[in-house]
Amino acid sequence: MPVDWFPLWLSLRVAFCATVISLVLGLWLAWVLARRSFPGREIIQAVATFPYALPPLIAGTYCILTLAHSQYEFTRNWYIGVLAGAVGVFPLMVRGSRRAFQTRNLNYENAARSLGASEWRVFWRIALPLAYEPILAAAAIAFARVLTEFAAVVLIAFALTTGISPFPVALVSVIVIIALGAVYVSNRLEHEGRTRP
Amino acid sequence: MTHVRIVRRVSPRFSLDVDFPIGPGSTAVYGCSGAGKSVLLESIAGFARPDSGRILLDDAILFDAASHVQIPPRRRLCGYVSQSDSLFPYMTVRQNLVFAARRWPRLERHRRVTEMLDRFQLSAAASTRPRDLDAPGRLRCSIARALVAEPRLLLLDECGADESLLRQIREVTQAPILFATADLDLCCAAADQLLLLDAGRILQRGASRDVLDRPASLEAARLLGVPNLFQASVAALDPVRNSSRLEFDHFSLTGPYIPGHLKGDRVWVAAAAESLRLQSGSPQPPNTVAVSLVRASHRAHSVLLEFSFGIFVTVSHEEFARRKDNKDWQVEFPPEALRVL
Repeated sequence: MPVDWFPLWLSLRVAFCATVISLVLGLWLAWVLARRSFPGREIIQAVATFPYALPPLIAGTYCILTLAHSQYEFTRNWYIGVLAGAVGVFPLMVRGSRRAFQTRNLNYENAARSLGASEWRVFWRIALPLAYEPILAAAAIAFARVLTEFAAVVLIAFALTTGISPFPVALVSVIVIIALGAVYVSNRLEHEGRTRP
Repeated sequence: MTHVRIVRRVSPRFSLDVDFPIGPGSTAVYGCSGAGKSVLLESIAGFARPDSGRILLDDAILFDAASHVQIPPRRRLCGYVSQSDSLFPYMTVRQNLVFAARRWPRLERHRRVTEMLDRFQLSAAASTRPRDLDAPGRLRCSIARALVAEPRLLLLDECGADESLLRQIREVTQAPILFATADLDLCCAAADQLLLLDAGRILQRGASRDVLDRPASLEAARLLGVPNLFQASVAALDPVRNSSRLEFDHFSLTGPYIPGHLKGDRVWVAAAAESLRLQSGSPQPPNTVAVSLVRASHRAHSVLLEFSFGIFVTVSHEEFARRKDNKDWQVEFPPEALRVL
């Protein structure tokens, strides 16, 4: 029986978009939390970390129900998965990026500021190049997590709606291999970040 | 006018509280580790916000707590070289300098960077990464980068600059230099003004030579490493002959007249180890104390002799070699060597 690769493409698209969104927003929040001191910082940090405490089941169930109620029009409703995925891995991005910004030497940033660089320039030219490895490592892990979680949800929804069971082995294998690859890349980046002079 | 008057509470046990002007030329901030040198320089550079006070640079307000003015570091034009390496590791030496020269048009930028690379002997290494330079090279690069931005005040935080490098910096810029150091010889050799900092407070400030020769307090003398510090009582005062008689625990000496003190007052007396002289034979010169040698500590260019009663004398290696078999040691305290604190 030919394998329907649609769940894979959908999961990849969702994982990519969710990772990009959580990366952009997580980087911004991590930079603010790492470099600014303001009232309520700890509360914002707690709220940003809260999705960690949420079981993926909730987001997954919400996705399944939404997809199921929309006549299984995955292509039209995939953005709900993106949203759920981005929220789920947001704490991962914030924590990873914040740690990267904090552990990198403030000396470089202060030197840049004393040389007339704006905060924007300090972020782009100094902080980000110095911390990109751990940040990309967090992004790779986030990608793997969204991919596997969403793929599972899609496959369940697919099985429920089409009655095809069990899941195609080839499809699941490819998803697992891609997720494993992302985790490997993440580990490599983290290692390089730690050992870089 | 350039003036710093700030208070910054760093922890419950340490706060910085300083008030001093920064004159043209070099000013050294001397203090032990933990004295607050880096906190002071970081506050001036704008990396840390003081709790109160005001910082003026060429009459421009950089910080004023009362009116909530806090100019960001990028607008202060304070060059800052930290004690740890702060060259951007993924840029070449030239790119590091170009980063600092961004406010000039391209051609001018190129000219300035090239000139600075030449001045600090970095032309050959312009295309290399900072990690490929040796430590002095990295320091020269950090300083060249700070200078290419044309700072109005240069802050050097125990970066390891020696006398010749400081002289080279002064050839390049007219901006005042404030450098933190724990090296007294460097203060003496390269600083016009010296500021003694201890536990966040200024103990003494003034012309380098004056501060080194005339510590104003017991704490300043201790910080400067004056080994001969004795408590004495004033036994006699003679303003006409400009002399005083000081009674120590184990001996008495004639010193200069001490204005503002009365007979019977307890005072601290300091004497530099280099200003005391060794004598031998008889008759004993005045102001001489018979002592016994406790130990001799050999230094690179001198020998520090520790005698009984806690008296220290520095002599040359040759003089020590001549006298080392002495049985009777006598130390002469020239009256002008005695400094009442």
